Amino acid sequence: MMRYAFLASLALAVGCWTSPAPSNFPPGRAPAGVQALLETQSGTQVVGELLEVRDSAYVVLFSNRVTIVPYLALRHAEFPHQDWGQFGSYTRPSAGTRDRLRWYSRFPFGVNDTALATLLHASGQTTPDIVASNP
Amino acid sequence: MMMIRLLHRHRIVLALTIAFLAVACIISSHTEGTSVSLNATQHISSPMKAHLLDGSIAVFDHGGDIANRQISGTGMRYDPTLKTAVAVTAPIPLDSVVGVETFERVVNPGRTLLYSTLATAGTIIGATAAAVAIFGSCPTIYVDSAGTQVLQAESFSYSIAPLLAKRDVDRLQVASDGSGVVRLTVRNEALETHYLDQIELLEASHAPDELALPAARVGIIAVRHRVAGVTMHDRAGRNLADVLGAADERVFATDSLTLDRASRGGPADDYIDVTIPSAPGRDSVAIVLRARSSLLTTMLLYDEMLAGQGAKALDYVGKDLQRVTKLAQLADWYVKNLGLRVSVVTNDGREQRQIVRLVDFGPAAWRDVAVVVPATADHDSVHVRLAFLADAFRIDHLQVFGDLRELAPRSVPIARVLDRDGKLRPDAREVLLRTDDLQLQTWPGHEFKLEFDVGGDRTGIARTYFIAAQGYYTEWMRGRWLATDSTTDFAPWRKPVAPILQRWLITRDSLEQTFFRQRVPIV
Repeated sequence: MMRYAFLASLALAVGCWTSPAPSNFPPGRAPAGVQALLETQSGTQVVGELLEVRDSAYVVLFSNRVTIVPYLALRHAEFPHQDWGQFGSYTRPSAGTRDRLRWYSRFPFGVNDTALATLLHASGQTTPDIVASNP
Repeated sequence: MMMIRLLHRHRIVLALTIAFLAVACIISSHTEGTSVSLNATQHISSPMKAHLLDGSIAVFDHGGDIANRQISGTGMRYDPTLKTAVAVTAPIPLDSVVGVETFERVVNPGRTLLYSTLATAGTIIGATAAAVAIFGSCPTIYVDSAGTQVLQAESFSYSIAPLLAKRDVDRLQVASDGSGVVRLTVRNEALETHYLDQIELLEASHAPDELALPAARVGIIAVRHRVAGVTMHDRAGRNLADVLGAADERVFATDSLTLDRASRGGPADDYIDVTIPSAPGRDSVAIVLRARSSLLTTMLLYDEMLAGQGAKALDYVGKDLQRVTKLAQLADWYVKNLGLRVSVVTNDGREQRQIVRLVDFGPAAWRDVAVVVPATADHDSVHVRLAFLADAFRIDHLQVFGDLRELAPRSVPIARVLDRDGKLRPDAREVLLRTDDLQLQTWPGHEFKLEFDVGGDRTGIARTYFIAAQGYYTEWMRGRWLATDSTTDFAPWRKPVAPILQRWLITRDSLEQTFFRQRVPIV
């Protein structure tokens, strides 16, 4: 028992370095969502800010326009500025992945009607652009 | 002097402590967003964002307070377009708030991951495979050989929790192609989530007649001049010179009588005694091993550790393994009972001095490793004992070399990462380049490729490559494990080994038959 106490106390005394504290985590300190790099089935590159993660689509601010990109339209998806790297699950994100990813979007609780109207007005749109699922 | 005695007396504890501190220095974690309950009065010390009904976002980067149905703190309020921002000068009423998020550090995905993966396991490989034990395998490293992927290494095979994250160095049998590129494939073929922190290639240049390989506690060494006249015998008295003399299909495993006695309460350890003729002027020799662990280690760590606890295993992996004291207990038990202990034996067998304990073997890939031992002659020979829990290892060959020297390998960073479709993944490369808080997560069935620009060959210089990888993995809970009625805490240090070996004798054959057939297919 003394051995464990010794070990534990020494380890605790010295302390452990882990990742940067949440207070230094950029997505936690800024209102914007992380960058989204999306590639559609037709080969179009969509690079913009992640606004919302829906059950069937990402909503991004692409060229200052609100754009809905259905998962079915995607060939590839990356979110390079979040905390983790991950392979192969953003194109057809599982419920768990969506739930984790939405905290990196600008509106993790969803874009409500008021916010959507404001964003559309600012970009000169009347409705969001929607990337076709079957180009 | 007293301090030296004290240090000597507690050398094992110190070694363990230093090891823990070493791994503690590379603990990695990640940051996750989470919703904040608005029903309770609370102080949030992490950055906090309040999302308002009008679409605006209030950011409190030093946290804030939720009390009296309002949010207060020092922050900025942004309009939905983020084009304008004003300081928060008054508390925000909760009835104007959609939700509040905060960010917290998470060391281990823990219960959430385990629960969520329960369902996913079945969908990926089917119920049949999920019912079969496939575990303890870790990231597997493959090299292309004439169009066939050949398993070369498995990394950090016992890093089963973030606190045990470690760097593994494995020798590869690979050469660069005509354009000076070394290509490797990394796979997740087990029911595990892998967290890869860093991967790099090490290149050791040496003479063509030298063999380069990692040496425990030394680094990369080059050896040559195989010592002749070495004899090897195990506890059962079998002469092993033939079976261990060459890298071939013949493999050492513990004699059945030795294992049977151990399972009935006899000596739990098997050993191989190596007798090396001494030579004038030779102060050390290198014992070169090609070995892997048997699936006994896998059964011990998972069937005993996880299935033996029933549903409590979720807490064990999710919480207990994040605690230094629990890990110390586990590590102490592991070090005492597992691993391959190499000792120099003197005074006609009455004294043993342990040189090193090797624990870095996985169950799938052969691992080439050297142990440098002092050539302390007892009469006309050097006597070395390799001791291990009965049947815990498979050894392909064991050779002794008289000449050895340390090498200074060159670090070669990853040049390119490609996903399974051949698409370049600079984001993944960025994650894997350094040891930091960024990790690459892979799930069963994932595969990616690494390319290293090593340059062309030089005449008269041989090059050996090593993969250095750092990370850890978490095991997926199997339904049958959680279905067991046991609610006993995992405390192997209170258990005798013999009953475990009895279970091993019963399950060994079926486990070994199914293990390699039931790998998770790469999708």
